[in-house]
Amino acid sequence: MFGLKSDWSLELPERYFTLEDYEGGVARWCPGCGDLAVLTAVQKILRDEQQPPEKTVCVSGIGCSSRFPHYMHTYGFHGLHGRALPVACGVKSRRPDLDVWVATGDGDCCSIGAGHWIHATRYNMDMVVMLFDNAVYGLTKKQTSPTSPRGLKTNTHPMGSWLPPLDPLCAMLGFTNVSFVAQTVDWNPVHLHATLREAHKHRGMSFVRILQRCPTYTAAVFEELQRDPSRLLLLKGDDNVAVDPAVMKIFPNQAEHDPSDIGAARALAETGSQGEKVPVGILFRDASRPCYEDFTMQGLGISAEDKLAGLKRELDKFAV
Amino acid sequence: MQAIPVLPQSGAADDAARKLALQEARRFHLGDPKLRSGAEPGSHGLQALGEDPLPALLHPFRDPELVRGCFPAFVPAVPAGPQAGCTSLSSLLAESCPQSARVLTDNLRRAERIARRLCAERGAECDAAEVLRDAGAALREELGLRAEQSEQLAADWTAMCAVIPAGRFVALDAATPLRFMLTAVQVATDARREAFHARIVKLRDGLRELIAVERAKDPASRSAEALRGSMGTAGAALLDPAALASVIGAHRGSKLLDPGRRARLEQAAAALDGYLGRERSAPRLIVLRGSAGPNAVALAAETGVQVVDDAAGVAAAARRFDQEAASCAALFRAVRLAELEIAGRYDPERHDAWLEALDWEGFEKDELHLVPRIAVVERADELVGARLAELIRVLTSGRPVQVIAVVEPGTNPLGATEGALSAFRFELGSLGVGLREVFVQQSTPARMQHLLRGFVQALEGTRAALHVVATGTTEARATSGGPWLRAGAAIESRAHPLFRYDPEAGDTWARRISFDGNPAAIEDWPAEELACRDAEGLERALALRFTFADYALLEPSLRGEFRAVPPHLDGFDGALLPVDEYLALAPADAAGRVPYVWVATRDGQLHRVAVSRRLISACRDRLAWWHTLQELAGLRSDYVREAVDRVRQEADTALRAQRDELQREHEQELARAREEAVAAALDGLARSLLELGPGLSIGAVAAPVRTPAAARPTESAAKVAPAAEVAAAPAPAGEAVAESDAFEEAWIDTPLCTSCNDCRNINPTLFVYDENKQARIADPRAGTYLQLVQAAEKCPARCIHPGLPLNRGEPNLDELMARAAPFNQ
Repeated sequence: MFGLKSDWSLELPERYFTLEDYEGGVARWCPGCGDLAVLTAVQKILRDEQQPPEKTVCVSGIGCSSRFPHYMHTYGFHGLHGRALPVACGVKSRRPDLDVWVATGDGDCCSIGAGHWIHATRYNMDMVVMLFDNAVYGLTKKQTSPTSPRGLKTNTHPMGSWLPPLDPLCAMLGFTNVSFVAQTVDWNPVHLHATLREAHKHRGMSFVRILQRCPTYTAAVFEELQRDPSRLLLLKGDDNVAVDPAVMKIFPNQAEHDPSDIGAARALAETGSQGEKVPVGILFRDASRPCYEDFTMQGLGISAEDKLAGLKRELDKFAV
Repeated sequence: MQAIPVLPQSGAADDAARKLALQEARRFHLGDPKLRSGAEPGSHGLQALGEDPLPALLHPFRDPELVRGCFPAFVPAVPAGPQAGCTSLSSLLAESCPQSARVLTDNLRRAERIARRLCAERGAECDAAEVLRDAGAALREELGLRAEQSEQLAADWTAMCAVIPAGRFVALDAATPLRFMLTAVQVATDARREAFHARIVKLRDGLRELIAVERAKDPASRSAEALRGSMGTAGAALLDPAALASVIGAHRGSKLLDPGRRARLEQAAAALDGYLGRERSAPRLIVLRGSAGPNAVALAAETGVQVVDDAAGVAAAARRFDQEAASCAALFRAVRLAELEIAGRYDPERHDAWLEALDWEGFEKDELHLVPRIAVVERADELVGARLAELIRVLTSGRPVQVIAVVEPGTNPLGATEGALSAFRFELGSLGVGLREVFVQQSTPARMQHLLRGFVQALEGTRAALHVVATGTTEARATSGGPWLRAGAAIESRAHPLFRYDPEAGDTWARRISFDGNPAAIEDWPAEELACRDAEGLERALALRFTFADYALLEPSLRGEFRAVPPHLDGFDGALLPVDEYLALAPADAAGRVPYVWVATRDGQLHRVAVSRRLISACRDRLAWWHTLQELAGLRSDYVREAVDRVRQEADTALRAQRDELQREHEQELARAREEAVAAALDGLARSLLELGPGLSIGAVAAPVRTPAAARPTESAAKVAPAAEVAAAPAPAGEAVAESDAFEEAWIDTPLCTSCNDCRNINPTLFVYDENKQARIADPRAGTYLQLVQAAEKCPARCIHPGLPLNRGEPNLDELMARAAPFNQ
C-alpha cells in the first residue's frame, strides 16, 4: 500500500547491543563443560533479538549451571537450592515486562526443587527454563542425581546407582498446564541455539532439557550419544525446530513430529527414556494455555494509598 | 511510530437525537449552504474535522522522517539501462552491504536514517560519496562500539561504499521530474553521441586527407618559399630552395580540384571541426520553463542542461526545436557531404539541392536523437487554459518535443474557471491519447522506475510526448505524510492512475497501453486492513478501501467537503455507508443515505466523516476514468463479458440438451427392461404352469441369477507400504573415512564450536572467537602443530581439524600426524 514495504518504519531502538553487552565475565566452569555452549547460545539469542540487558533477568538455584547469572551482563538472582523457579515466578508476577531465563540443574530442579517444578509448570509464566542435565551433582563433587543412569558409580553410590533415572520429559508432559517441552544437546550448538530461540519465542513456561556433558565427572554418560548420533531422533516439521540442512545431515534418524500432539510427545519421551532414539527438538507446544501473570498483574498500578484504602474498606465490613 | 488509532466510543443517545443528527448529516451531504459554509454549526453533533486530519489508512505514516520512502533517490553519474541505475537509498544500501558484515547488516536501517537526515540537511541534491562517508562516521559514533568492532564496522562500511558508483542523492521536489528527464536523456543519448563523435572524427580526417593531397598539388606548394619552409633551416643550408623549385615540375596527369569542390570540402571540414570543438559544452537538454512553470533553477548548474525562461512556454517549443534542428542540419549536411566526397560519389547537380533542402523532417532517426532535446515544463492549469491550442499544435506537429505537465491529482486543472470539483475533470492524459500519434504517460517521480522507463521510452522514439506528472509537492498541501506518500496516495485513490500510451509499440490497444504499477488494477479501489483499538482497548482490524474521497482529505482546499458525524449514528438505520459501498449502490438505493470515510486526527482518534455530494460526484468521475483506462488496458471489457456470457449460455444449453437426451434414453431403456422382465416373468410362469412335473419346484426352473464375477483385487496387494520415517541409515564410519581425503590446512568447523574455551586456553593467538563467540583459526603460523593436535584432541565438539603440519621441522612430527589423522577425516 502506498508503495511501502513491510519494513517501512525507521523508528529504531535507541541502542544497539553486541554480544559483549551480554557477557558478564570469564566463565569459571571446567574446561570443556557443556554449560559454556548454552551460555553462548543465550547471549546470541539476546543479541539477535536486541533484548536490552536491563530488561533481562537470569535466575538460578544451586549447582554448577546455576552460576549462569554471574556470567550474564543482565540482572540476575542466584537463589537457594531448588528455588530457582519460585524466585523466577515471583519476578515475573511483579515485573511481567522482564525477560526471564531460568538456569537449573538436574539436582536443583528434579530433586529438591521438584515440588516447585510441578507448580511452576502449572503457573506457566512466560519464561525460558533451561534444565542443564549432566546426570550428576557436579558442584559437590559427584553424587548421584535423580537423572543419573543406573549403574553410575558416584560418591553416594560407589557400587553404582540402583534405580532407573527420572526422565524430566516424561514428568513434564504429565504436569498440568504444561505448554512447551523441548530437548536438545549441548554439543550441537546450532540445534541448541535454534531450540532455545523457539523456546524464547513461546509465550508461557518453555522447558528445555539440555543434555549436558560434564567432562570432569560424567564424561562417559553422553559420550556414546555424542559419538553415535544414530541414537538420537531429530524431530522435524513445519512447527518444529528449523535448522540448516547441513546440520540436519548429522542426524541419521529423523521423524516428522507435530508438537501440538501431546500423545505423540509422551510416546517419544517414553521411548527416549529407555535410551533408544533420544528425541531432540520440540516435543510439545501449546500457546493457548493460560499464563499466571495475566492474572497476577492485575492491579499492578495501584498506589500504596489506594491499597491501604481498599484494605480498610474490606476490614470496615467487620466493624461492629 | 504513531500510536495505534482508536475507534470512537459509541455515544449513548435516544432515537430522536439520532434522527436529528442523521438529518443534519443528510443536509450537509446534499449541500446545505449554511452547514457547508460553517455559518451554522451543526446543532446535532456534526463537527468540523479535528487537528491535522488524514485518511485513516495514512495515519501510521504521518511522520515522513520515520517512513522509508523511495527518496532520497540515488542517481548515478553515468546512468545506464532502462531504469538508469536509479534506486532508493534503502535499496542502494541493502544491495551493496556485504552479507558477512554482521554489525553493519544489523544497523543498516540506522545508517539509512542517518543518511536521510544528512541528505535533508544538504538540500535537494548532494554528492552520494560525501553523504555516505559522513553517515558511516556518524553511525560509528551513534553505536559507540568497542574499538575493534568499530574498526570492523568502518572497514565494512568502506567495502560497501566501494561498490556504490559515483552519483548523487536527490530529494523529491518540484524539479525532480526534470532531474529524471535529464537522466533519461543521458541514457537515450550518450551512447549515440559517442558513436557520432567517432564517426565525425573519421570523416573529418578523411576530408583533411583529401585537402592535404590537393594542397600538395597546388603550384604554390612548389614555390621556393614553401620548399624552404618544408626543408627547415638545416635543409635550406644544404639545398637551394629556389633552384629546387625551378627543377620540380608539375606531376604529369595530376589534376587540380575545381575551386568549388575544394571550398566545399574545406567548409565541411570546418563544420565538423566546429562540432568537435563545441560538442562537450553543447546542451543535451533544453528546458523551456513557462511563466508559471515549476522551479527549475536547481537544474541550471547541471552540465548539458540549458534552462530557458520563456513566458510563451509550450508555444515556444516548436520554434526552439526548429532553431536547434536548423543548427544541426548544417552539421548533418557536412556529414553527408563528407561521406559522399570521401566515397567519391558527390554529384553537385544531384546533391547540392538535396543537401540545401535538408531539414529536421529529413533527418534520420539517429540524427533526430542528436538534436538537443526540448522539454517544456508547465503547470497543467496553464496548459489547459489559453495555451491548449498551442499544446495540441506542438503535440501534433511531429516534432519530438517532451511536454511535462505538472498536475494536481485532487483538483480539476480547469478549476480556476470551473471550480475544483466541477462536473468532470479535464484529463490531460485522455486528451493526449485522443491525439492518437503522441506518446503519453501519466506517472509520478514517487514511482521513479515507472517515470524513468516512460521518459526513456519517449526519448527513444521520434514523436512528441506528453508526460502528465504529479509530484505531490505543492506547497499549498501543508499536510502530514510528505510528498512521496501523497503522490503514492494519488495513485492508490485512482486520482492519478499510472499508464503509458506508446503509438510506436504496435497498432492495437493491447500493445500501445501499459497499465503497470497500479495497485489492485482489477479492482475499483484497493483494499487494506487498518489495525486499531476499540474504546475498550481491544485490538480490531478495519477493512477499508482507499477511495478518491480519502485522497481529497489531503487537499486543504477540499476540507469543506467533510464533516465528522457523531459516534452515536453508528449503525443507526443503516444510513451511514462507506464511500465505496455507497458508490456501488443504484441511485434509488443510495437516496437518503450518507457516505463516509474514516479519518484519523493527530491524536490518533478515528472519526467517521460524512462526504458531500459534490465530492461523491468527483469520486464517480474518477471511477469512470479509471474504468475507461481498465477497458483500454484490457482489464475489463463489455465485449469480452458478453462473449463469455454467450459462450457460457450456449454451453449450458448444450449441456442441458445432452442431459435431457440421456435422461430420455435412460427412461426408455428402463421401460424396455421393465417390459422385458415382465414378459419374461409371465413367460416363465406360463411355462412352469404348463410344463412342471410333480416334485419340481418353481425355483429350480427359474433361470439362475447371474452375478458378475467379482474381480476385486486383494486389498493387501493394493496397499502401498506406508511412508517410512526418513531414516537414512548412518554411513559406517569407515566409509566416510574412505570417501574423504585428509585436509591440507588446519580448519575449524566453526558452527559446531561450543565456545568451551579449551582451544583458546592452549593458544589464544592461534584460536580466536568470531563475532558469534565461536572459534576459528586466526593464523595457522601463530602456533605449533602440537598445539593444533592437542586442541583437536581436547575439543569436545571434535570440530578442530589440524590438517598437515606447516613446519616440517617440528619434533615428533610422525607421531603428531598419526594423532591428527582421526580428526582430519
